[in-house]
Amino acid sequence: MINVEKFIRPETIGAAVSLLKAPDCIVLAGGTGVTLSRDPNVRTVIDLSDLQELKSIDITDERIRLGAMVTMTQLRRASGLPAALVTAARAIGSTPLRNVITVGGELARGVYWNDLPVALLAMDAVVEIASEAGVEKLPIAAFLAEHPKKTLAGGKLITAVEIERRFTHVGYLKFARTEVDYAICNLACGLRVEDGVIREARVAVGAIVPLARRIPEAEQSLVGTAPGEEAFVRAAKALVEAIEPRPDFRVSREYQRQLMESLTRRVLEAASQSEQ
Amino acid sequence: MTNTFSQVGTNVRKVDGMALATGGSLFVADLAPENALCGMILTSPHAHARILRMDISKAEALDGVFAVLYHGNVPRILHTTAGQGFPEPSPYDTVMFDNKVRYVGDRVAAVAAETPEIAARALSLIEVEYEILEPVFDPVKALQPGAPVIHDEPDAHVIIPVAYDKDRNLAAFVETAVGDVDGTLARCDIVVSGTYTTQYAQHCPIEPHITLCELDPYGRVRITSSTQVPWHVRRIVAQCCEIPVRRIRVIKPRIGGGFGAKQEVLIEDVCTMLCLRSGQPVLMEYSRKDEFVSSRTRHPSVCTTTLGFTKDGKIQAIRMHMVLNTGAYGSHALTVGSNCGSKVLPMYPCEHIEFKMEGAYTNLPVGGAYRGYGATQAVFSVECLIDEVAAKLGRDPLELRVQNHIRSGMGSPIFKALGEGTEGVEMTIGSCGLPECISLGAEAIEWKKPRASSGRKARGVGMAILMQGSSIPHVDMGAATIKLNEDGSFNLLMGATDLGTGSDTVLSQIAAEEIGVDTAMMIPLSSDTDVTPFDVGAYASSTTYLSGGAVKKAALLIRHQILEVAAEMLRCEQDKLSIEAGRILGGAKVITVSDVALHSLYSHNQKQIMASASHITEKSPPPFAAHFVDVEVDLDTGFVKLLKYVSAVDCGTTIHPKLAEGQTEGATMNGISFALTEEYLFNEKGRMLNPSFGHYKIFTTTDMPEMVTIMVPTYETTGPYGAKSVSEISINGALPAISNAIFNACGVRMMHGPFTPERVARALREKA
Amino acid sequence: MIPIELDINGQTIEMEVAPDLTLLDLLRAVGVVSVKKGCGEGDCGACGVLLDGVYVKSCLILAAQASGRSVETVESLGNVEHPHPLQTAFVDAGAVQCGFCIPSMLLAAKSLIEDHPEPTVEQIREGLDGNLCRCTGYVKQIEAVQTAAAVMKEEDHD
Repeated sequence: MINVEKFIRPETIGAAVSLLKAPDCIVLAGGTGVTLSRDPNVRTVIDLSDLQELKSIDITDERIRLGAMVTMTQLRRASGLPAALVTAARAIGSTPLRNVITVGGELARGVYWNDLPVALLAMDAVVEIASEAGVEKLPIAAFLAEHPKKTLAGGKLITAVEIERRFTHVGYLKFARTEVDYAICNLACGLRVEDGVIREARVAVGAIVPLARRIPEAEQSLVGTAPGEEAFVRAAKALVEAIEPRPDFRVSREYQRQLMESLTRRVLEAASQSEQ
Repeated sequence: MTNTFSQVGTNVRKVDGMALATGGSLFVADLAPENALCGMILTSPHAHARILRMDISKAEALDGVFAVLYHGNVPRILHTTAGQGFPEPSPYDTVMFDNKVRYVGDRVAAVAAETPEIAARALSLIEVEYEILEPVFDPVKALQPGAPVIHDEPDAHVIIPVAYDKDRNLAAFVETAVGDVDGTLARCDIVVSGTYTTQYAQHCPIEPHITLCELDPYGRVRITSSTQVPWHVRRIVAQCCEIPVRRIRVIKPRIGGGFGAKQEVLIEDVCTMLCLRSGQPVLMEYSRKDEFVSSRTRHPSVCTTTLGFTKDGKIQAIRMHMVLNTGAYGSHALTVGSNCGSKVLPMYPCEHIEFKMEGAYTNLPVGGAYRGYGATQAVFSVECLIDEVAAKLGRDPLELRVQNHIRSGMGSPIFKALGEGTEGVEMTIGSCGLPECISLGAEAIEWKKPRASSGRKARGVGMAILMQGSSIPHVDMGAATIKLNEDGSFNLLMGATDLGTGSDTVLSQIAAEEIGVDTAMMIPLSSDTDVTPFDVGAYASSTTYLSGGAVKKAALLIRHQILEVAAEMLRCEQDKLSIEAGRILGGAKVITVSDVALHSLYSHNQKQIMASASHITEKSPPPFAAHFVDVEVDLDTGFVKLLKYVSAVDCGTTIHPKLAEGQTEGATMNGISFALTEEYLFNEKGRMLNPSFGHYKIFTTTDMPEMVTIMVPTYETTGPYGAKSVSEISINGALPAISNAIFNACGVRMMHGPFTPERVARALREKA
Repeated sequence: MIPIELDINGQTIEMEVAPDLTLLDLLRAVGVVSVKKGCGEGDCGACGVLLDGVYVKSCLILAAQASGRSVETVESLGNVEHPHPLQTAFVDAGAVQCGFCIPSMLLAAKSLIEDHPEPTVEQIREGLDGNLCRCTGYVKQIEAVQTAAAVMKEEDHD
C-alpha cells in the first residue's frame, strides 16, 4: 500500500472490470491479504464493498451459488450447504477474520494455506469471472491450473462460485498446530457413490503443495471400487506417491508424507460416513 | 488455624478493573505527546560479526532525523540489562552500542525521527561494514575448546565474586554437592537417568516493550516505560547515559503484561540517549518481531539428571547437570541457573545431592527472566524420571511422590547452598499443602479411572508436583508509604509494580485489613520513582510476600497513629481502642477514622497521619502445586489433545481468591502451550524464522482444555496474613505432566520440548 | 490523500487520509486509544472493533475502506459510572488482569452475544478465538461472557 495513490469504490461490476485492466491496481475484498502489502507497484485500490450483486447466496436442491463477496461467516450461517464447505469455512482463521474473508478472496489469493479452494476443488465448483468481454465460467481445476494472479490478469473479476450437488459424500479436513493457524495440510474429497460403488471421485490437497490442486492418481484409484479401508489406503498411497511436498520450515518432508497418508484415509473415511 | 478476615480473602473489586474495561486506562503508547519522535533500532543481520566501519552521515542528514546513535558516539559503559538489585549477579557484558554484533537482532544503531517512515528510511541509510565471524549456536559446543569466543572484548566482567570465563563462553557457573552421590548411586536398586531439553520461548506480552522519554523544564528526564523494574531502570539508565540518578524519574503506567520480559532495562537507555541528544520526547516501541528476536526469552536448556532409589521406593540421591543457553548476553544466567537447583532439588529430600550448572554464551537471542525462572527447565527431567522410577518399581507414580516429597518442618541443604549469586538462606518448610493438592487434584482428574483408548487415539493421565519460592530473602527490599485523608481514605504509595497481576488491589486489601477499614478506602499509587518509595519490582514472586510485608508494616504504624489521636480525642487509654470497618470502638462513644483525620489535620496537635516502612524477607517459603492432565494422543498424526487440566495450588492465604486463580490459570495456559506448540525455529545462520504470532503459536480459546483450578488454603506465618506467592509456580507443571501423560497413553517418553505432533509421531515410529 | 467520512462511536468525522493508513492508526490518531496495537499484523486481536456491527481487526482494515461506515469501540459500550453488563461481568469475574486485550475482547463478546443470546461454551470459545490473552488463560473471560449473556437476556425481558 506504500505507493497507493487512488482508492476507488466502483458501483457496478462493469466499472470494476474496466478499472481492473490497469496492471498497477489491486482488488480489495475483505482486505486481510492486501492491507499489509508492501508491493511498491500497486498504485490503485479497487474496493468491492459497494457491489451488492456479489453478496448473494442462492441455495437450491440442485445447485449452490455463492457471490464472490460472501464472507466465511455468512457462508456458515446459510443453511443447506454441504457440510464439507462449512467445515472448510470454519477452518479459516479466527472469528474477526472469517467476518471479512470472502469466497472470491480465498480463490484469488493463491497462497499455500488457503482452505476454501481445496473444498471447492473436491466439489467440482465452477468459478464465474466477469470482464469487459462478458462473463465466463471456468471449472475450478482450470482456474487453479495457473496462479490466480495470472488467470485473473488484465481486467478479470471473480463474481461468483457455483456448485452442483453431484457428489453424494464430501469431506474436508485441515491439519495445523493449533486451531487458529496456517494449514500444514488440508484435504478434501468428493465421492459419487451409486450401488455401493464409487463412480466418480475428487481428491484435493492444499498446503503441502504451493497451490491447491486435485490429485488424479488418487481419484483414479478410487473409481470403480467400494468405499472402505482397502480403497482408501490405496488412494492415500497413490496421493503420497504423486506429490512432491513443498518445503515447509515448520515440518519435515518425512512428516508431510506421513500426514498426507493418514489424513487422506481419514478424510475419505469421514466422507464415506456422511451422506449429503 | 482458622482466620476470619474482613478484607483479605475476599474478592473485592479489582481497583483498576473498570478503568481498564472501559478503555480509560492509559498505556505508554496512549501517553505519548503529539510531537514525540519515533525511536527505532537498526539490528544486525548477522549472528556473529565485527563492525569494521560505520557511516551514519547520510542518516543524520535526512530531513526529519534528530539524532543517530552508534558505538562511535555514545559512552562505552559495561553493564547488565538484567533488572536486579545492585551489585547485580549478571555479567557486565553489554554496552549501549558495540563494535561487534553477537546475534541476529543485536543492536547496531538507533535513530530518532519525526515519523516511523523517516526513521526506517534513516536506518536504511546507515552504512555498516561487517567482518563476518563464525558463529556457535549449540550451548554444549560453545563450552568446548576451540569454539568461537563471543565475548572477546577485554572489558566484560562480573562485579561480584562468581565464576565467569568468557574465553570459554562460560557466562555463569554454579555447583554444589552434599554427601556422596557416586557411592550412593552404586548402592541403589534403581537408578534412572536422562537428558531432557527445553526450547526457546517468549513471554508474548500482548503489549510489546515500549518506552517514552521526555525532558521536563528542569532538564530532568522522565521515562514512562512498560517495565517491571522502575528503580533498576533508573539506576542503570543513569549508569549508561552518565547522568545522575536525581535527574531521572521513572514511571510505570498501565502495562500490557511482562511475565519477566520486562524485568530488564532493554530499551530505556537508548530511548533516553535519543531524548537527550535530540532534546525532544522520544517514543520507542518494539514491533512484535522485535519482541521475539531482540528482547528476552526463556533460556533453552539441556539437563542431564540422575535419580537413585532403593526398592522400597525411597529416594537416595539426585544429580543434576544443567546447561543453559544464555544467548549472546548473560543477563539472568547465573540466577536462572541457580534457581534450576534451588526451586527443584529440595522437593525430594535426600542426603546425597550434586548440582552443576553452566550458562553458555551462544550467538542466538538472549535469555532473560521468564516466569518460572529456571524451575520450569529443571523440573521437567526430575518429574519425568520420578515416573520412570515408578514404572520400574511397579508403583503408582502418585504414591511414589507422596512417599518422598518434602513436608512441613523439613528442610534441604539446597536452600542454604544455592542463593542467587550469593549464599542462599537456610529454611525449614512452614506451610505445606502439597499432600492436599495431590489428593484433591487426583480426585478432580479421576486419577484412578482407567482411560480407554479407542481406534487410533490413545488416552492417558499424568501429573507433576511443583514448588517455587516467595521473594529473595536478604536481597530484595520493598517499601510503602501511607497517609490519611479527611474522609477516612488513605493514599497508599507503593514501589511495588503491578503488571496486571493485581498487586495494587492485593496490597490495598492488606493495608485495609491491617488498619481496619474497607479496601475501597485505599487509593493506591504505584511505581513512580519520584513519589513512591523504593521497591525492587515485580519479580521472584515477591509482590504479595515482600511488598505486602512492607505495606502491612506501614499500615500497622498508621493504625497506631490513628488510635493515638483517637485516644486523645476520646480521653482514654489507647490500648482499649480498636478500628473496625472505619470506626474506632472501645471508647465512650464511637468515632470514625474520618473524625480522627479531620481532628489531626485541623484541630489540635495538628499532624499528617502518615507512615513509611521497608521490608526484607527472612525466608522464601515455597508455594506448592500438583498438576494433573488427561490427554488424547492421535497415534497417526502425533497430535496431543488435552482433555482436562487440573491445577491444585497451595499459596498460603489467597488474599484475593479470584486473582490467585487468575494467576494460576494464566500460568498454566502458558505452560501448556510451552509444552506443546511454542518454539523458535532458526535457519542455519541463526535467524529466527517465525517471529510472529502467525507462526509462533500460543493457545487461543479454541485450543484450551477444560481447566480446573483448586486453591488449597494453608497459613504461612511468615507471610502477610498467611500468604505466600502464586504467580510463577503453575507455569512449570505442563511440560512434565504432559510428558508423563503421553507415556501413560502410548508408552513414548517425550524428553524434548515442545511435544509437537511431528516429534510425537517420530517417537511413536521409533518405538514401533 | 483520500477524503473519508466515518462514524466513530456516534460522532461523524471527516478527514483526509493517506491511502495506506489503517483503521487502527486512524482511530488512535483521533484519540480512540482503547484500540490497541499488539502486533500490527492481524494476529493478536487487540485492535478489534465493530465495523457496521461486525467484529473485525482494525489493523487489517484500511481507513479508506471504512469510509461511509460506522465504527464502535469500547468507549461506546459503557463508562465507569454506567458500565455495560459485559464490563461489569468481566471485572467481577476476575477476567481483567493487565487489561490490554480487554477492550477488543469486550467487543468480540458483544458481537457474539448478539448472534447467540444464550451462548454455549463452545460458541463463546469460537467467538473469542481472535483475541489472544497471555494473562488469564481465558477461563474467567469465558465465565464472564456467560454471566453477561444471562444479564443481558434478563434486561431484554424487562
